Amino acid sequence: MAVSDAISELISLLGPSCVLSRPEELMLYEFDGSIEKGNPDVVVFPQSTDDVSHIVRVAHRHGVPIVPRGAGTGLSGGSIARCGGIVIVFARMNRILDFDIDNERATVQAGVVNLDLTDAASKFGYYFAPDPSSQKACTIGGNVSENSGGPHTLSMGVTVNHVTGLTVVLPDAQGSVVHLGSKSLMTPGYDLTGLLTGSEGTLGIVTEIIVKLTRLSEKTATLLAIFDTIEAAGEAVEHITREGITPAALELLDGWMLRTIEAATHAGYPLDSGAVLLIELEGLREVVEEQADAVMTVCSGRAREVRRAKDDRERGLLWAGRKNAFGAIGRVSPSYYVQDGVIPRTKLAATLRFIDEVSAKHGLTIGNIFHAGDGNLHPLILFDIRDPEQTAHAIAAGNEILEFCISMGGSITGEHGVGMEKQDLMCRLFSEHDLAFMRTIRLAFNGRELLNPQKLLPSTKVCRELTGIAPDWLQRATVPKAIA
Amino acid sequence: MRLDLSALNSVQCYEPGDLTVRVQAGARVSTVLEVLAARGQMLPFDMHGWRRAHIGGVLASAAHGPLAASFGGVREYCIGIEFVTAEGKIAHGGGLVVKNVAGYDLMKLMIGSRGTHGIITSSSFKVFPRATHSTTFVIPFARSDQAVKLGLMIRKSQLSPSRLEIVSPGFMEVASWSLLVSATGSEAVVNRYRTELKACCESLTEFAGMDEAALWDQLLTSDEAAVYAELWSPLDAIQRTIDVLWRTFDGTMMLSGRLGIGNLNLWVRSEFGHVHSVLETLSSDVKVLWRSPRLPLALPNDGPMRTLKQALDPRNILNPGAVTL
Repeated sequence: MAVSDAISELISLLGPSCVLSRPEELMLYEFDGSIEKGNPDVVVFPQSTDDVSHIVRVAHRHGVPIVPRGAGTGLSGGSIARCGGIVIVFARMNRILDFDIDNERATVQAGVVNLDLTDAASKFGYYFAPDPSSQKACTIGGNVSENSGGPHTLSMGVTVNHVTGLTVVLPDAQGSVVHLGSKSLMTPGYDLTGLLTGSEGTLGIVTEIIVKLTRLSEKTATLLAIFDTIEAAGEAVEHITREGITPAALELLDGWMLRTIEAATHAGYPLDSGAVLLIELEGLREVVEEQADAVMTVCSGRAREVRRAKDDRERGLLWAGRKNAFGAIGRVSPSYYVQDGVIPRTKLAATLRFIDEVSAKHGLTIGNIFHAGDGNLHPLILFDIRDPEQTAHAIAAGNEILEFCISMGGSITGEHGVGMEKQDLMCRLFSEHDLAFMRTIRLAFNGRELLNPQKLLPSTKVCRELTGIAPDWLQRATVPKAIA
Repeated sequence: MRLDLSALNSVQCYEPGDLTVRVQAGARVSTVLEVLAARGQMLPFDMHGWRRAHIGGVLASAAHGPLAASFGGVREYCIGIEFVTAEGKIAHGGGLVVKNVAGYDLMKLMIGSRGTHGIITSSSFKVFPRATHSTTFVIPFARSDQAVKLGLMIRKSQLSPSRLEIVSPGFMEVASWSLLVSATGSEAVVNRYRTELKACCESLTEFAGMDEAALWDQLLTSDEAAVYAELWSPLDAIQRTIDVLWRTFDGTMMLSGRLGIGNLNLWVRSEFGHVHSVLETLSSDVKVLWRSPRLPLALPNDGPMRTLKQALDPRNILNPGAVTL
């Protein structure tokens, strides 16, 4: 691998203003939103699909790994250059190419920011439904790679339910460009658009996306149900699901999280409660009013009080608190470790009790804020990254919670992806045959494993056992330490 | 070798409180729907000929019906899958939770692949609550463009019908074009549809309860003697597409189309070659999603598909020829 030769070629290909290679510049691309780290050798900023194709050819010639990166807000290490190499940043491919309102579609470049798309579509009365908490910064390309969710995906589905076509640069020697899917919801033949969505940048580099737009609702109501205990809130979620009420969003915040957020955001959350449910209802006005009544009935006897946002300002404040929660943690803890486990919704109360036990066992505060309606937990484990013992406890606590989710019939990730963080837990969730099949898919697209190496599937020892493959860059890879 | 999976027919796990179900591939769609209905839940399986369909076939063919206008295709709510690989190994993807991004989305890989990547043995779905009220409004029109115009207007309105179907003369022993609009929800929701629809048409007929079920049953039986095709047309071109087809297959075609999503189903009493040559002449924006099953599907952008098929089934033993590569 001759990285310096590759860098020279990239500079002559893209121009010096599109290539970063000084150590102080590269440091900015060591991180994403997780606790993982890794140093790239070079960072490039393509401006077209053609640029990306050329970059892939350079990488192939020199045997250098490639890692695509959106805004770096990911929470599992998916965009970290674990084995060094070229990081392709899509910040300059940020154009909305087309709105086709008749067909409820938009075509965007991978670097378009999620909220920018929704803001632009709102002029036509539409929006892009997936709304990760990082939507002010995260990109559609990143959303596609991770199959991102968000609070409003409870009723609307995750990113894959809102993507109908992709332009992809394949990681082959030619940097082949393929167009998958179309504006049609259904695909003739193999659904490669669906397969590549959520493949965490390991099968191809997504450069353009055809997304489905969703019509803005006639009516929205936002309710805040206040509970004395988190168990009561968990029970209410189970009953809302059982009753067939389908809110647009159903978020749970525990008492500790509420107080922490309130100190930072002044959202109007009740400081003395054990937990709240933030419930959003959307649709025809008749539907919204009926569902609001049904929620009130379920909460009656369980909640201390149910408030309803009077106007857009109050609604905006309630959501600002929820969406800025991770930022609010920065005021009270030097580091946090957020998990993304999923459980069947009937197991919510039992899982919350288990998280409480884990917190006590490891002596760490764990805040709970999550998408309760679809059973997608986000326990936030607070620790100090400078303290190795605390760090070890935080990682152990996270793994214990995910193991519990698996034992409940759940999953290790609902929307953040596997990335570097949860690779070895894949062996707990999937059998050897499952993983071998997935590995066959990866190698069919990414034969030299130059594209986003050592992500998603179990690596190192497990990888060797499964495939016997040990590419040359593996020798250079760091041991997967969670904290550098 | 022909594999008969009809003995793999059990509902393996049903948790009404979680709104999830896992069933074996050989289970009949009708059996699964009965099990769900007993708990006030449903899956939007209303493809043509659904009474004879099995779960594995629905997945392998990505079959769908009028309810796809609101629920989308089966890819949108299949959350887990188990299958036997070309090497005879049992593999699975996804699980039994409604949100899950662990590993590659093998559901998407298997759905619509016609058994060419593996033999589906079991699958999981997120299920939906059944609405308390449901009514289908049938609005007759002398010409197709009148039905399309109202259908597209409804689609752009705040109404979100669970079905929005245009049906050609010949279906349901009716001589006119019809627009079928299904309203589901509470009584107040159905009333809202009634009021708004009456304001934009001269006459409409309502079907509810058993009558509504019988109406859709009648529509969802297919013409076995005809050549069948399923197309997708951009909605801004759908009227033109319908016109061309209707004119070309004058008197020999029945059509039912999902105006919510742009899918058109055709049954043409003509010989294969003629039907397919006409489909070839349609605008390049129009996609042929399915043709009579006796003919393989030719795929666009087949480079990566070919590579994938070769990797997963190097000896081409899984349903060879079902997909042209």
